Amino acid sequence: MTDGRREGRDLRVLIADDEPDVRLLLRLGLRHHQIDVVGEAANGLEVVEHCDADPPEAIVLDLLMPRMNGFEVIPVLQRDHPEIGIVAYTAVAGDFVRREMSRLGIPLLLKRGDATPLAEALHEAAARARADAGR
Amino acid sequence: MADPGGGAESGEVAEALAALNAARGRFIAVAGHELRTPVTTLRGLAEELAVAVDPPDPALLTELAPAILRSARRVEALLDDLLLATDITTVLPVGDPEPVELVSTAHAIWDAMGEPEPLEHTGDGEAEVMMRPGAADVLLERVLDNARRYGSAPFGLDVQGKGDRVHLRISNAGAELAPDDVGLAFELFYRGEAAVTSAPGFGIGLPVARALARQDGGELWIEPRAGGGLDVHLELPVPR
Repeated sequence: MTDGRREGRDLRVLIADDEPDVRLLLRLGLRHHQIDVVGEAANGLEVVEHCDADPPEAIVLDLLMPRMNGFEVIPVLQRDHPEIGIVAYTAVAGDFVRREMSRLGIPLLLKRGDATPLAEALHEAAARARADAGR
Repeated sequence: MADPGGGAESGEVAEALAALNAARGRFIAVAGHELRTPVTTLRGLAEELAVAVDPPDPALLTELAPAILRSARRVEALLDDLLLATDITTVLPVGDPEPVELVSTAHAIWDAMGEPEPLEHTGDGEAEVMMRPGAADVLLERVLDNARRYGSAPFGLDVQGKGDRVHLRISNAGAELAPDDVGLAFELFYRGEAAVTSAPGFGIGLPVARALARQDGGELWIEPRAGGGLDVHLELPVPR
């Protein structure tokens, strides 16, 4: 195991999605995977505000959100909060989205009803961000 | 039989078909995106429901039930539009225009929608126009559904004869429209910000309605109402 689960505590995660029912689903689904959802955001501005006030260890980031979208949020977080692991989570991903996430080094997952792959990706992203920030 | 205007007409048909093909591509992209989120959400919430009932967790069930219903309704509404959009290439009816009375047709459609608020009728008692078979039903259904989904009461239907044409104004109260929403309302698959956040849909109602009006020599346009809401204006030729 390569993440915070070794330490016997839950991973602190922020959920960012403009759909309230998606946030509800993620909040419920992730609790089975040693994840503590510490906050929710409905747009990119709320993500930045939340991370500045109380940085989580990882973020589930929807890419299409009003006011400030995920593509705009990622560079801000990488600059100001490199210790936060980011997982991009989107309904559909065309070539542009796949290329852009690859270029930014952000793991990309398609939305699913099963939270297991997302939980795994969050634990791994958090562990990697911690390791990178500690170098 | 030779048709002196056939060249121009076939050019228009080719242009229309190209536009429809482009629209179909946009539609597939929009449909995939719009449907995937509620479908995956529905599946995940149903899995959580299975957990919440054994042993029963009343608080969780109270939270899950309305969320599942919202997602299911969203899928249902999106599928309704999907069926209509799939039919866009054939929605323009064939046949010769024939007399059709729009006031009674509008009220029948409104009643069938089950909208509790009345459709208040003012002006002339009847509005007989010339349209191809079935066109008036589809046109009015799209306009009235648009008013009901994105507007609020009072809903109005005003009829005024204007020589060889009839003018209908279908109105609703509601939020003020952004200037971009007015300009792009007839762009296929365009949905204003207020529409996106208030009700599911693909943004095809008004474009389809206008295409039907124009096919039979009429016109359809919109005007934001002072203080909020929308007027949809429709003009069509009367029988000679």
